[in-house]
Amino acid sequence: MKKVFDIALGILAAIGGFVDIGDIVFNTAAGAMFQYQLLWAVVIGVGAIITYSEMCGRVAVVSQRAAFDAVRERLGFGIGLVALLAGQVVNLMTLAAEIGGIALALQLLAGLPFRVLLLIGVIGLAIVIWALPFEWIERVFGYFGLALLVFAVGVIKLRPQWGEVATGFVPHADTSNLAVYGFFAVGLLGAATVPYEVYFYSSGAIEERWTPKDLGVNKANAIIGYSLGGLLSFALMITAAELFYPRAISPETLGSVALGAEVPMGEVGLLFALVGILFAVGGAAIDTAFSGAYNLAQFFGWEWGKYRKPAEAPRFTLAWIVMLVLGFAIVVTGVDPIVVTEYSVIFSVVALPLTYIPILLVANDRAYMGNYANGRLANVFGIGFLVVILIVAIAAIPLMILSNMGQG
Amino acid sequence: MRGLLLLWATVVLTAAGCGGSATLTEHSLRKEAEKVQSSAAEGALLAADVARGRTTEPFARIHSGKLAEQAKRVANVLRTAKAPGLEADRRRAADTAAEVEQSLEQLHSAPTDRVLAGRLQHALVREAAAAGKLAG
Repeated sequence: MKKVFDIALGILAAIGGFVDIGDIVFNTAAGAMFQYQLLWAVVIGVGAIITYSEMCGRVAVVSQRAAFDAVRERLGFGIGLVALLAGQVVNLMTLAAEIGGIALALQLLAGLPFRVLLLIGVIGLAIVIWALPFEWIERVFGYFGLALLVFAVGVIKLRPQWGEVATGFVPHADTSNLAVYGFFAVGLLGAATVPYEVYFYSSGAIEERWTPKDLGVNKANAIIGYSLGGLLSFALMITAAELFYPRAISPETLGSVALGAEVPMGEVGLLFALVGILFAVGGAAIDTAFSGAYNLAQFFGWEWGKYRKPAEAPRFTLAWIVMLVLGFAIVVTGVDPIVVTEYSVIFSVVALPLTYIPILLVANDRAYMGNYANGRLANVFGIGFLVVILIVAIAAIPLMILSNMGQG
Repeated sequence: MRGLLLLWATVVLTAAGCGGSATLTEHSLRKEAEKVQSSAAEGALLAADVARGRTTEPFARIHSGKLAEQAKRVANVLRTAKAPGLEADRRRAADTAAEVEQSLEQLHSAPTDRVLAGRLQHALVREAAAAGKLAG
């Protein structure tokens, strides 16, 4: 019974925690621009994150070593350092975008000045991270992030033509602007598979002290949690397709996303959407701050873990505090968080192979994994998704330039 | 040293050039008109919710303010740019962008005035249609 309860809690947290500012921005913009045509890209992105999260969770459980440990060991110090730097740059950009997103959501809720809310947001994050245990951080933000399910209710109220929606799951490009279409496909894949998610997931397995007995929980969390989280992405895209596409609206702010819930459901829909965005983005900010600290600690062999007291892991603690301060410093300059989001997602796509290749290699290493090494099915999915990841990593920057950052 | 001076001169001249008015092609003019249409159409959705009392004051105020900023940016570009052979369309687009900005500014200043919001909704729908024609 306890295991069922643990699985349910983990799944709920994964649903709420899956969507971050990158997913919110790219899914909404893709729906507004291409209607349902890019739903297939979400399916591939969710498939990839399920496959690799399950894998790195299993590696962490069996070897008691988190993903970045594996990255360093497999790639060696030199290339490992490149992976670390690339990962940290992407983490920092993502964190800055998420912190900006928190302030934007708070501003839409409270109407106070952006910079004041930016400061309140980042101090609030620091207090929450300092005061709450790991499980509670994960669950509180995951559960309140579930308020985003309001978009799924909104979709039902908007009554889309389900036959047309279904065509979006088959890759096709009914557009003359293939570069923009490609840019959004890459962005959606990137938003679903950002490296911090797997780093955080594998470190989380160690934080929660999973043992091989928890491998079922690992699999259920990854498969069911992320699949249902993917539904939130579908809901955001379909909402935008129904409301914004017919009116030629190009959503450029978080307010536009929230408007998508307000139009079908009024004030209640709006409040649920804003609370959902606040907690989803807040949870992602904590994930990225931790992910940055995990990567540094695991690479340099420091003591790490939220389960340790700050004095027992001082460099790890200092690392997440510095991440928060740097993220805040980037957004306080006045740079648009939505623009930072777009760049962070595209650059994370470029860095994806450096994260995913070592995980696949370690998960196949029988010396490491023994009987828990990848089976045939995990390898078919793992290699298949890796090929897609390599293609999008190569295509990301050229598409960004050719599509004028998706502006056409 | 001469190379450095040349580089400095190039940077200064380029920067000076950036401050001048841009030239709009048919494609870029259409893109600017699309932005005007987008701000107006989104503003109309928001105004409709304000008129029906289906939103909150902070949301209506902040979001209409952001949309007004967007429209203002586009209006500035359209007002100062040159569009050889397309001057009439550029002027129409600039005027429409200014009207959209004005409507959204009014919504921003009175986010709880339901009667005004109803009027602004209709105005914004008209402005979105006008910009849509220019966007092709």
